[in-house]
This record gives sequence, C-alpha cells and structure tokens, in this order.
Amino acid sequence: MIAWTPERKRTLRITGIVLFVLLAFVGWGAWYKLLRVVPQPPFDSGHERFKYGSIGAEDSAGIPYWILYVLPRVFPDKLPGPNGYASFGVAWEMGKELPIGFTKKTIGFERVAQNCSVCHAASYRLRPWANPRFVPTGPNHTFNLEAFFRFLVDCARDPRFNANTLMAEINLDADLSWIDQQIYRFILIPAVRQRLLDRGPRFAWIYRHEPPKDWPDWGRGRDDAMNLTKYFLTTSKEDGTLGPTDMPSIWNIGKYKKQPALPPNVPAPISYNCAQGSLTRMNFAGDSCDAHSVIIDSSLGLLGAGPASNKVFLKEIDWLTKYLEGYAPPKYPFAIDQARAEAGKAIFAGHCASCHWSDGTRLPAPEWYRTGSVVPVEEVGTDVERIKSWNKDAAVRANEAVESFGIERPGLVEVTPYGYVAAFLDGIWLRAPYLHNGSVPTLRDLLKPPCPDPLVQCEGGRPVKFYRGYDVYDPVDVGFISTEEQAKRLGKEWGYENNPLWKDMGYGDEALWKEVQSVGTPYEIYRRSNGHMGHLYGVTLSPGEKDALIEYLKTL
Amino acid sequence: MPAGMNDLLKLSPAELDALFAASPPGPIPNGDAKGLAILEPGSEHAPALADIARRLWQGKTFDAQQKMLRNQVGLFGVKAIAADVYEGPSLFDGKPCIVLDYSKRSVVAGPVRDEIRLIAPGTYLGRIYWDGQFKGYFALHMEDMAAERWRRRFRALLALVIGIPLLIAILLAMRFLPDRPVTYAKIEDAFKYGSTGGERNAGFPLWVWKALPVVFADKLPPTGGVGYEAFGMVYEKDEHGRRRDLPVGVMQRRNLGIDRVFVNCAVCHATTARKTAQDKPEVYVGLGAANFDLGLFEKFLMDIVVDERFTADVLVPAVEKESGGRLSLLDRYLVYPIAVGLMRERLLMLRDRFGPIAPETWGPGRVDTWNSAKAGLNFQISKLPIEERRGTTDFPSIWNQRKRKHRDDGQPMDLHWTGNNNDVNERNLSAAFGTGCTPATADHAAIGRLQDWLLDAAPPPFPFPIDEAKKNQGAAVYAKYCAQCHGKSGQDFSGPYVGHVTPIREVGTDPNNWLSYTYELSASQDTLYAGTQYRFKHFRKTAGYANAPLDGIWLRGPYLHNGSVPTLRDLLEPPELRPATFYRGYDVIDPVRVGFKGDVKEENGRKFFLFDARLLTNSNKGHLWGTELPAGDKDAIVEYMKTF
Repeated sequence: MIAWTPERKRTLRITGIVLFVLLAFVGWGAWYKLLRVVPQPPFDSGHERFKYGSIGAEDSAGIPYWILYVLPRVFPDKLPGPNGYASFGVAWEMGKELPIGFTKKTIGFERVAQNCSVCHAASYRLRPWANPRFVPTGPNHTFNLEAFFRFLVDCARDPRFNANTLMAEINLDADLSWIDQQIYRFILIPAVRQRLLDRGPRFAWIYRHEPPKDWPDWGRGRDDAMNLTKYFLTTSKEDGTLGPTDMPSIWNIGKYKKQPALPPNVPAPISYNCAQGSLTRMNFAGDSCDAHSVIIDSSLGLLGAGPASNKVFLKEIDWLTKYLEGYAPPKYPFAIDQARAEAGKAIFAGHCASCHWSDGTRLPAPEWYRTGSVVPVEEVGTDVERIKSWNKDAAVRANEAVESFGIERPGLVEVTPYGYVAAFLDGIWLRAPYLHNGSVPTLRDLLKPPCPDPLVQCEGGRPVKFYRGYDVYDPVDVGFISTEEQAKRLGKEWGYENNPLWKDMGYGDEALWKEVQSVGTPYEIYRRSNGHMGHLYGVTLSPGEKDALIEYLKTL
Repeated sequence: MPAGMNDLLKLSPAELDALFAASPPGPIPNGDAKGLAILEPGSEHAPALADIARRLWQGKTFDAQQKMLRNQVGLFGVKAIAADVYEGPSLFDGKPCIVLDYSKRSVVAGPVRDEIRLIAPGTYLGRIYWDGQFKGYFALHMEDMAAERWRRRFRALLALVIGIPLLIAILLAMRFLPDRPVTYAKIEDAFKYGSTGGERNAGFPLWVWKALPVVFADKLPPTGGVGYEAFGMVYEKDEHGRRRDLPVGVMQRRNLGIDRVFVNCAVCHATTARKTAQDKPEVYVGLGAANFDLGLFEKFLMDIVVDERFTADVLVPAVEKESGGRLSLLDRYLVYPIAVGLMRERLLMLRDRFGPIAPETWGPGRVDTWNSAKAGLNFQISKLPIEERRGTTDFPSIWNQRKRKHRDDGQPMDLHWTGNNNDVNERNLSAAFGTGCTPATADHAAIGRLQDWLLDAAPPPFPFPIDEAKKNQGAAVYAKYCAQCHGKSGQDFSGPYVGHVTPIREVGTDPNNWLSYTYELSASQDTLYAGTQYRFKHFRKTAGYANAPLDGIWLRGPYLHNGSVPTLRDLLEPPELRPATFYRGYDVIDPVRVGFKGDVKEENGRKFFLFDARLLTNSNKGHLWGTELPAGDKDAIVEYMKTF
C-alpha cells in the first residue's frame, strides 16, 4: 500500500494537472489542424456564391487542397487529356484558382469539394478563337464527370500514390510548415488514399467501359444520375442497368410551380407526395415532383453522406432554391430573325406546345397541360434504358436514406418510371445535345428522322456518331459543333479553308474538325442506352417550317 | 562527505604524513567509501583538482569478506579496477596499515599499492605507491553511495542522450541550415550573378557544376567552345582582371551545406555584342541573349543524367580533383554522394518532363516558353496536337517595365509575345520558373530588387553614327506606318494599339507560339503560387500577338516573335525576299541593316546555328507593314529606329 502522504498527494496533483494541460494542448492542436471550421470569405454576388460557395461537401467528400493540386502532375497519364484538370472539360473562368463548382474551405486544413455548379454551369464560345462565356445553372456539357470519378480512384490505386511521391511534388509548390507536412505525410495522404480506394468497388460499374467495352462512356456532359443515387445514397447492389443522361439546366425552377390546370376530362395522375393533382415531374423520367427535394438529393450526392449540420445544410438549400428560382434562362447570343421566329411560333403551337409550352409569361391553353408531365416511353419512343435504371423500390430506399439523416422533404416519387418528362424548353439553345440521353447534337438534327441502322449514317437522318463537349456554338443548326459537316461548314465560313497559316501547317480546313475530335468525346448511338430513336415530332415538317420552328426555339 | 574531510586538502604533505604516522590502521573497511583525491595538498588549487578528479574517480567499494575492493571510476561510477585488501606493514614507517594491493587483480593498475589508516571514525587517509615509489595522497570516507551513484549515472546518461546529440545537431545545423545567396552591391552584377532562389530547388553543387563539362566533355555540343562556352555562355573578368569563376547568368547560394549554382535571369537576358569582329565583346543586360543556347544546355543535362558516368563513384573523384582536394571527409563520403543522387533525381524529372518539347531544336537565343510551362506542370506533351506542341520564340527584352504598365487606354500593356498576361510582376515570377524557382523556393526579396531595377532599366544607345537627315525622313514614314502599334519612338510608347493584341490572321506571323498557348494552360497557370499573395490571376488566351514597344530594337535581333528575320531591313522586305536561312548566335552588329550579322557561319573555331525559316514554328512570313514602301523609305525607317 502506498501511504498517501501530503507530499505524494501534491506530486500526484501536479502530475495530473500537467498531464491534463498537455492533453488539452494536444487536443486543441488536433482540433485546430483537423477540424476547425473557417467560414469561406463572403462572395460578391449570388452568382459567385453559386459557383464557388460551399454546400458542406468538404466535411465528408473534401480532398486536401495540396493533394488535389498535385494529382494531375503526378498522374498525368491518368487524365483524359494532356492539359491538367482542364482536360476534364471543367468550366474554368480566367484568373480563378479553381474551376467553377470546386469549392475551397478550411476545415482544419484547406479542402476542396464540389458544389452544384460543377455540373450545372455551362460554357460556350461564339468562335473558335474566342474565350468562353459562362452561364451558371446551365448544363455543363463539357465536363467529363465519369473521367473525374475514375481519375481519383485510379490515382489511389496506383503505387505512386504514396507520401514520398506526393510530398515531393507538393513541396515544389507549397511552403508547408513542418507540422503540416507531417499531417499530410502521415494522416492525410494515407487517409485520402484509403477513402478513394473504398470508393472503388462501388464504382465498379463505371469501369465497364474497359474491355470488353460492353458499356459506353458517359462522355462529356453526361452522368448516370440514378445509378449514382442507388449505389452511393442507398448502397444498393449493382443491378446491371445503365442510364447516362445529359446534365440538365437548373435555371428558372420556379416554372415547375406553374402547373396548368387539368382539363376536366383528364384523370388525376398517379401521385405520391406530389402536390394534389399536379402532373409536373422533374428529372428525365419524372422521378421527383418537388424541386426542393431534387436540390436536397443532388446535394447529398455531392456530400456522399449526411450533412455535418442539417440546419446549415438546409439553409444553404433554401438559398439555392431561391437563387435557382430567380435565375432567368440566358438569351440567345446571336441575332434572331424575328419574322421567321414569329412564323415558327405558330408551328410550335401546332406541333409542340401541348407537351412543351415554355413561354413563362402567360398561362397556357388548357390543351397544353402535358408540359412537364411524364409521356409514356411507348408514346415518345426514345431510348428506354434510363427508365430501367430506376424503380419504386429504389425510390423507397432513397427516401428512407434521406429520412435517416433527419431531413424531411416530400422526396422522390415512389413509382417505377414508365416514360420521360416532356421538358420545358426555356433556354433550350444552350441545352444541346438533345433528348434525355443527349443523343442528338443539334435542334436541326432533332427534326430529322433517326437512322434505321445505328451503325450506318443514313442520308438526311440524325447523326449516328458525333463528338460531345466541344464548346463552340453553331448558330445555324443550334447546338455545339459536333459533326464533321458542321466543322467543315463553319470552318469555311470562318475562313479556315483559305487561311494560309493553317494551310502552311498542313491542315487547312481540317483544323476545326480535328479540334472538335481532340477536345470532345465520341458518342455512338449503337451503344447501349445511346439510341437516338423516338421523338419523331416535327420530323415531317417542310424545310421552311423547320427553319422557322428552329428560329422560334432560339427565342425561348 | 564530512566537513572535516575537505580540510585534509589544506594540510601540507608533511602534516599529512604526520597524521598518517599517528593513525592506527583501523579495521578492514566494508561497503562504499567515498573518495577524495588530494593533489598538490596545501596549495590553493587542491580543492579544484579534487573536484576534477571526482569526475573520474568517485571512491571505492570494499568487500571485507572477500578481502578485496573495486574502484568507482568514470562518469558512470562503474565499479572496476580491483585490488586485494589486507593488513600489512606500511612502506612509510613499517607499522601496520591496510594495504590495497592491485598487483594480483588489476592489469592496468598492477604496479599500484595503496596504504590506508583510520584517521577519524569512518575516515581513512591513504598513500599511493607506484612500483614502490610514493606518488600522492587520498582519503576515503565510509558511507552508502548507492543514491549518489545512481544520480551520477542518470546525469551521465542524460548528458549522453541529450547533450551529445544536441551538440551534433548544432554542428549539423551550422553546416547545413544556412541559406545565404552570394550578393552583389552593384545592381547590374546582381542581375548577372545574383540569386532568384532557384538554387534552393535546382542548384547544382558548385564543384559538380565545374566537373560536369570535364567528365562529360564528349556530350558538349560541337560548337567549338570550351566548357560552358559551348552553350554560348560568357565569362567576364572580375575587378582584378581574373576570369570569373562563373559565367554571366549563373548564380550561387550556400544552401543545404554546399554552394549551389544554377542559371538565373541573365543567362537568357544578357548578351554580348560587338561593333566589329575586332572589338572585344561587351555584355549588355536586360535584353534577349543572342548567343546562349538554352535548348542545347537542357539537352546536355538530359543526356548526361542517363549516362553511366552520372554516379557518385565517377563524379565525386572528379569533384575532388576540381576542388583541388579540398573536400572534407563529410563532403567526400556523405554530402556529395547524396547531392549527386538528388541531382540525378531532379535531372531525371527534367528529362522526363522537358524531353518531349525537343529543346535541341530551338537554337541560340530562343525558347519554347509555353511548352516549357506545360512541361513544368507535367502536361503530357506527346498527347498534344502537333500545332500546340511547338512554339519557339526569341528571348525578349525586359527593360523599361514601368512604361509597359500603361498604354493609351490606361490599362497595362499585354505582355509576352502573345500578350497573354498584363501584369509585370506575374510575368517576372513566371519567367523565374526558368531559373529553377518554384513557388516554395522563390526568393521574393531578391527578385523584387531586380524587378524594381527593371522598371527603369534602359537600353544603351546605338553605337554607330546616325545620319540625321535620313533619320528625320524615316521618322515621318515611321509615324505613318508603324507608330500606332509600336509607339512614337524608343522612349515614347504612346499609340492607340501599343500593348494591344493584333489578331493572328491580321499579323500573319508564325502561329505556333500563339497556338501553343492554350486556354487550358492559362487555367492551370492561374493555380501557380497558390496559397500566397502572388497567385497568378492574369493569364489568358488572346487572339494573336501583342504589339510591342521597340526600345533598344537595334540590340534585339533577330526579329519577329520567333526570331525568324535577321535584321530590321529584312523585316521591311516582303516574306519571299527575307532570308530563308541565316546564322544565329553571332554577336557583331550590322550597322546598316540593323541587327546581328546573320551571314557568319564560323569564327575562330566557334560555329553558329543555321536557322531555317522553312521549319515548323520558324516561319518568317507575316507582318507585312512597310514592305511595299520604296527602298529609300525603308532605309530611312531603319535609320530612325537606330535612335530607339
């Protein structure tokens, strides 16, 4: 037995206090270096906040700044192109440290995560030699999200993903303190590697593009949204479905509230947790009917987990909802022939408006009630794969998952999808390529018939192969330059053909087409889920009527 | 230790002897006895000497049963050096005493025999004999020394564990931590030889730098120069008239325990020029080097690093020879072998990243700026479309930067050949990458000093007489045909289009440099210097080439962004009359056509570079302004431009 003399007690007490102070200091240091939240600096405008503001993904999905910084330098061979992060087709404003949609926030250390604008900010150029213009909330048709997902996992799987290699590269650019270097070396680098490796198995399905190549790449500007939800929000088992779709525009979401009144002879739709009697659906296959819920679900997808604080998260969601409601679709940047557009308006009213009434300024005629509602796939005839990638069970599970985070929202429609939403066409000029799977490069092509043999280009039919993600606009066909025909035609118009400079280098009028191919990702309609069939409305119009209709569509 | 014991130190030898003689032998001691060495007894040094002795000998430990003892010696108080203990007659007076006899038990102390007698309770006085010769006194006091022994051992251990490493650490820190550039008072010298901080990243050990052209003499380009002169580098004389240790454009810094050297701004932005072939070359600063072949220099480094001789085994002996055998053992066996290894790593990285941009095709006075930038970012050059993969340009002049901060519309001028950045400071930091700087190693203070000087650094005047009448005639023609884009004169940069970009199709010059600069590259460049106030924000893709002011244009040949036209007068001819080939790297001024003489193939064994305008990125077409003027007007414009 130890005799507890006063001296011994005193010694014990002092030792205890010293230990406590030491421990507190270490704890404070760990908190400071790993968990301390520093708010982002305030943004000058709502647009800046939408483009670079955190939605809270840094907590769960953030990558330490310097690791992200050096990845393209250490693993250039794993990028989809030779130009660093720009190779992913991210929308990158001049002078900015990070591309649009990449948010930087200090939580202990500087972390980078993504927000909505990584997929929902469009860029376009008026001429090949011009710099891009950016439209927040527009579809990011240049961003190769799948390649970005693969890149991170591929880096982690590579033996070069180790502290020595990464630190050597980091130390070239960062003047990190000794302690920060140790944190990177011994904590962050191994932890990030493990995190990314853990993602790998859940991403097995995005590697099916590799031999035997039975699945097509998403390519630029597309993502397999419902499968991402299934495998990451609800950790469902892989079910062999494939449904990549175009990145949608998310401007002007107030329009979803302007549901036309149902004509008396139309039965109330099957509806789960949708406003009574509302036919309006969101997502391509009508999986949701509440914009607020869609924003929540998409944001949770970026977080990859429940929010650190529901209160903060939902406040940001409310801000986003307001911002998106107020964001007007961008005006067409080229001249519009008003008379022809006026003629087109009549054609639109006759052939399109019942499903695509999109003039937000006045109430529609009652017979246009189908705008925004689901059209059965048998009726519209477009590629069916996207519908198969979602079902009632998945919706129930996803709703449960969100509920388990303690977030209440109307949620996904718990119905197995059966068709595609007849979309509002606001800002349709910037939403190319067209149809849910982005299988038709321009509006003019959409008014052509599909080709009977998906491997053979038919005369006057929709293209069976084209390139996605090149951002120079074609004001004639309305869409981006995606085919050789467009590139040659515009190259000629813009003087490529006669330019001695290009000729000297041996590729006169080929230049533009070569550029389209080197920047864009190929899209082949014979691949699974890539079919360009269906939606035959307007195909039989006369050339003059088509011109007029297209002219009108530019005004939306 | 009893107070009385230290008093023994004050006694004289005679008094000690008396005390010894008067004392009984006492019992054979048992247990620890604390020792006191009595050296120079009675003197004032005795206490100090005893103190020192205590560090080496603390006392003895007796074992009465075994009749033996062990001494406690050393810093640790280790028990060692044993002796037999018995009572016997003293060598001093033949009377009984306790004898401590080392002869049987100890090798080192074999000849020693101590005799002790009890002078007080527990205290013995001792006499030491060596081979029977009396040597000195000591005292012992019987007490338990276990605690003291542990304390001593602990202290000694502490000293070993902390003190020695600390000492080593301090010595190493003094050797390896200093980070000191060689500095120069005169700003021109600072520009020519001063540091940018790049040595911290890319610096070669000074002696290795000197050994490289010796060891790899066979890898030097066959241009006829000795050592680094083969790349067109120039050695100046110092104030004592001796050839300088390092050529113009090479800087030095003490860093990581060695002197490290690397090229700085001046290697590309200083040149020699001569009025005639008989003149001595004079070094001018702040403009593009006419004679330095950066590409061949890079090629040399890329070649040697994969040579089997690039090992410490070969290079360190060569370094030793170069240094005149002045390497320390530490340098010889540790510092230089490691330095060679690190250097190899860095150069392999250089080779890996910069190899695909084919620097050997540039020729003297030129660089592929943006593909170098891409290589620095480790873009995969070989995957780029061919037209983006080559974009060689002339080294530009960098003087008069202040005037470039303003153009007629109040904005700063578009800088670089393509006008892709209008911020002078970013331009400079971007160029500093070429001196080995990385964002983490740039020496902003040193670069800032050069930057401040460059604001107003001005070109030298034309060294030949100028025909006044012809000049005045030329001024009028120039004002009509050139001034709007190139400024009123060499001093006045006003003009509505000065510092603006002219679209590529309008200017019509070789497009490769413009093509090689991509929007994607500008995006990645805007991440450089992240985390600092210097982060780049001004890089952008433009529509063509920038209209540059023409200050000091007579020294800036060859002309056009890619240096494809040898003289100003040639530039005023239509493209088909401009020379398709000429020699670059020769430094004699052509006083009539203005520029460097382009028709000299070789001089004193030194061979010059044959430039071929028909090759990719070398086109001499475009920029047709003034080409349709009468010959007299063209001559007059050239005469006027001599005043710039």
